[in-house]
Amino acid sequence: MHGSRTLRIARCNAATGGERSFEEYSVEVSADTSLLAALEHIAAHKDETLSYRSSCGHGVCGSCSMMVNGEPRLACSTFLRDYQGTIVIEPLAGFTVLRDLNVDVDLFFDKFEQAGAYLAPLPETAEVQRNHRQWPEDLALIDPYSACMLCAICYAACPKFRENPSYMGPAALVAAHRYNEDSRDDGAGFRLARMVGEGGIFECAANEGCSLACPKGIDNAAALQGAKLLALLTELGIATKPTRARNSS
Amino acid sequence: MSTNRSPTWWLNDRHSVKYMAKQASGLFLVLYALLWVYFAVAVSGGHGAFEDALAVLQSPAMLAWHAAALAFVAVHSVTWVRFMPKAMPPRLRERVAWRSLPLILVRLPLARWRILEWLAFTIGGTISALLAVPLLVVTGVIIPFTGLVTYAQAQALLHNPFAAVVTAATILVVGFHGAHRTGGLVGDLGFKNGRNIERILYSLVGLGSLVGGVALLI
Repeated sequence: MHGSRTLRIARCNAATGGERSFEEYSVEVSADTSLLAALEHIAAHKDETLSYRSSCGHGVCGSCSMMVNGEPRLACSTFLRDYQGTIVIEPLAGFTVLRDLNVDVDLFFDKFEQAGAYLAPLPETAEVQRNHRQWPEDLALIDPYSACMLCAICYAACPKFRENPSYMGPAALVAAHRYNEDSRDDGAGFRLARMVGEGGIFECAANEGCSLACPKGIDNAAALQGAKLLALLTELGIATKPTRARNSS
Repeated sequence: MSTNRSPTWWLNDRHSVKYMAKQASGLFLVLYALLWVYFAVAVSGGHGAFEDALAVLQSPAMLAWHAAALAFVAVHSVTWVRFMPKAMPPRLRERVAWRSLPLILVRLPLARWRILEWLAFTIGGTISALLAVPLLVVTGVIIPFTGLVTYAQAQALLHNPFAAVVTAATILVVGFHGAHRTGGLVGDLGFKNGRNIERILYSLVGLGSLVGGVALLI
């Protein structure tokens, strides 16, 4: 055992117009007690009204994002052995609180639609059908961004999203950039128009908090900076897509 | 809808403090661009005006300002050197249609403002990151305190058409970069009018670069 820890948890019920308050719970901690396990213990044995979101419990689904001592983290991948004394748990910053640690993530998912972060397939010609395969060089262009699990932690870490909620934000814009880079995609034209528009990539101030906080290690800030440069080259009419699939069969 | 945040949110962790120092370097860059306007006017104003400018640079207040500017601008330079290599898209050489480069002359004037703004910001940021620190040492220490730069030398170096254009362009892009960053800083501190302040500063450095360039030309 690693002794006990006190969790100071934000409580709030938006439906009843409640103000945020804090309640403290003491939990026994072993070497592998995650914050999510502690919350489950509290909900099961101490206060069944505690509300939080979770699913896989293994750092895959991105559901249990919350603020831990002011830092956005996944509850399932945060181990209480790494903390001392009282640990302050709050809902994910930058989002409207529904209840306790639950936030409204509709705004976050809407950003992906706004940014055009979905595949716009190439026209189905015979050549394209033959080349639906993706070469390793082309996959390497999008692979670093494909691990995103939509946890929204990068939004809580982004000062520009916190300042301006209409900013499309790191995850959606990096996903849009990822599709622009995809050798099987044909949507860069409409997507770039959205990405350089209001709330797009030029709102990013390269704070890099999004990269540091990402549980999957995606360098969002660098990707957005690269997207800005590619938008410039496209605007100047000198950009080409470096896809091996198009040039060879 | 976003939840409110405290104007002192950036004091919570070291990364945010460094980020705000980088943003604050923008204000120093605007002021430094304007100092160069003053210096350009002084060099073209004759020996007396140059001596007056030297006296200003030798004042304790100006020395302290240079030291503060150096600290903030150094944070920006270090961040730039660390971040820029990561920000280059992979296989960049393959992405440029080199044969189409002349197209830039046609497309650049037609480009959207947000893209042009970012281009100017990036050029200004690159020049600031590479040159601002050594230039601050030159204007903060070497010119006022070593006597290595005389009026005749300053005149010979700056009072010609080539130097006038280079100086005016540098004042413009460095000041532009600083103005954009200062606007961002105002937003980061929780104020709503960052964009307006940015536009006022754009106008100021635009006018300043014109004044500085013309002063060195005539």
